[in-house]
Amino acid sequence: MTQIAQPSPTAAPSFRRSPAIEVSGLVRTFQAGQKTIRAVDGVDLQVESGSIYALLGPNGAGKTTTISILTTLIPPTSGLARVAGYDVVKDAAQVRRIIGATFQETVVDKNLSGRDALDTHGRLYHLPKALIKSRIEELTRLVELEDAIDRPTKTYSGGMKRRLELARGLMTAPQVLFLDEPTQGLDPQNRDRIWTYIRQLRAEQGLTILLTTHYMEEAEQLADRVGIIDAGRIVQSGTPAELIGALGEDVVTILGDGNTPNFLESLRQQSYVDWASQYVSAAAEVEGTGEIAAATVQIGLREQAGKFLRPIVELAEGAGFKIADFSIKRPSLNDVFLKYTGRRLRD
Amino acid sequence: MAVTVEQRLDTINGLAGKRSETWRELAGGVYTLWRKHMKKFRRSVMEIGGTLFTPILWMLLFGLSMGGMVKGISDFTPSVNYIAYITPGLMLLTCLTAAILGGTTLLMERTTGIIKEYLIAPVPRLAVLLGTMSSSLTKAFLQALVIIVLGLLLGSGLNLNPLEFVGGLLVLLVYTLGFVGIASAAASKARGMESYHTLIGVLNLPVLFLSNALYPLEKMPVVLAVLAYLNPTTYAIDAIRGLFYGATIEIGLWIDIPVLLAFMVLGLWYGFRAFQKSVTTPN
Repeated sequence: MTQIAQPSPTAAPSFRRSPAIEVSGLVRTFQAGQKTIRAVDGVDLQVESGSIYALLGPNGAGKTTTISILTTLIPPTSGLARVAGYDVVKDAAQVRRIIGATFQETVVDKNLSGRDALDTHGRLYHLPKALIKSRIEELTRLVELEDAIDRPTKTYSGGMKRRLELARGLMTAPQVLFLDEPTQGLDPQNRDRIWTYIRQLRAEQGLTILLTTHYMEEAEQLADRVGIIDAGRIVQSGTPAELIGALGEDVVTILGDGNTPNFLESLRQQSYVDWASQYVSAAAEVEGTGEIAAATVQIGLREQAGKFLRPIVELAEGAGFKIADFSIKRPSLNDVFLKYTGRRLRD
Repeated sequence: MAVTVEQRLDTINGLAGKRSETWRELAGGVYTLWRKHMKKFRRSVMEIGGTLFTPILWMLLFGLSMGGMVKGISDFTPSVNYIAYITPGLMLLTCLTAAILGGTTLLMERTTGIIKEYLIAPVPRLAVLLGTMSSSLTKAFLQALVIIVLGLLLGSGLNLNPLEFVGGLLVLLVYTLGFVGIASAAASKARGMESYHTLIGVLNLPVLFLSNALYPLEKMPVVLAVLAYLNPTTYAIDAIRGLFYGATIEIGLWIDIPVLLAFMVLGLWYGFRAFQKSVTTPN
């Protein structure tokens, strides 16, 4: 696992701004009957001030639990988490004063208007009335809800509710904004809008944002850094370019059946193969046939795939592996995810 | 945008250095939530109508027909007419229903996740509970007022001694708070609306019938009378009948008031405990 170097304890104190979010060894367990579930199982991460960090992972990976701890909703079982230098347990009151958040579920009162929602939010944070009024104007303009702001939110579409929630999260000009699945279930148009607002906020106000998503594209489009989270741990992190670049030039995916270990072994001996792995759990359907392939093999190549197709097919035949399907593509975050978790991320 | 950020920083700085939430944050939080709930209440015809419907129906249908049979002041209803006799019980039934419906606000906010907005705000968690409780209480009082007025229109009369009237309001307050506490506890524990709503059905009728709301204790079969003595409503009715309408007090204020205070403390304690537990253990 690669991580940003931690400042060593012996280093001289510097005047560098500390990271906006620092998390180390974070663990949160839940009791489900007799079983103890480790929803967050040792998460370490750092988010620099003014940057966007995306926690990318499937449902149940521990993203929402991590956000719940960072926003002081629930305490961690163990480990440390600081937001803007404040401990989320010991200084929870301070953390609450400087963060904003939107949650995975859409939570707005359907009988109250958008303005009511923003007004109540401003009051909860003890903002002066004049400031609440001017903030509502600004933010309504930002999220393009001018026409709807005085209507009950039950008349809003899903996308409008999301935009209202984003505005609510921004009401108090927070230093750190948490967005839990900000575009889940939205149509592409609304998703693009929200992405635009988020980029705008970072560019204009230097806002630090931690968002969770299970959309590859979202992480790729928005984040300065991506942390791939699976089963409560961050299995890999880096900039999207770094993560994808680390996969090599082209990725070949082969579905098939037969002597897989033998095939992998012979692949790994080739100079043009960077890495090769098998995903047992990802028994995938062979496109169009309805057949289930027994094994998925992925091969990261050091060069472009073209001239290696024939050698790979021959290797498979020689190793007793029957190829059912064969595909080549430029690696994406999807492949990064598959490589580090052994599973596909379902959009 | 620059000005607003500076103003925002002033707000933070005003509270900076204080590690825990302040009194100002508690009071502001309670007021904000009270205000929000009352706004929703004003827009919710269902909640107002649903609470008032049953007691009004009782007063009109039962009160007028029974009142016709039990003419004037008789030994059946010591020293007051029958409308005055049943108004306190129906007033308390209204308060009980209002308390339970007030609890649905908490339940709804908890199950939909709206409560998260409050829990991550710089507002003590206690403010979330107190905000809900205070709005429940306000709703109950407003509706009790409607019942008092309706009673007056039907000829209940009213005791004009201000001290006794205020005393009656305090009894109403103590009784309602007890049920506000119980409703908060149920709303903190219930998994959904369905299970919570059965609570209204389960509580409403026994509270009315297993008490002295419609007929005197001494006229009841022993089993029912014993159950009535276990019902805090009986004591509240006894006190309010005397304080609001000048009826002969059957049990005695010196028993009514301690019993009601104990009920209130227990109800509130139960509510606080269940709420605390629900916000420290995630759903």
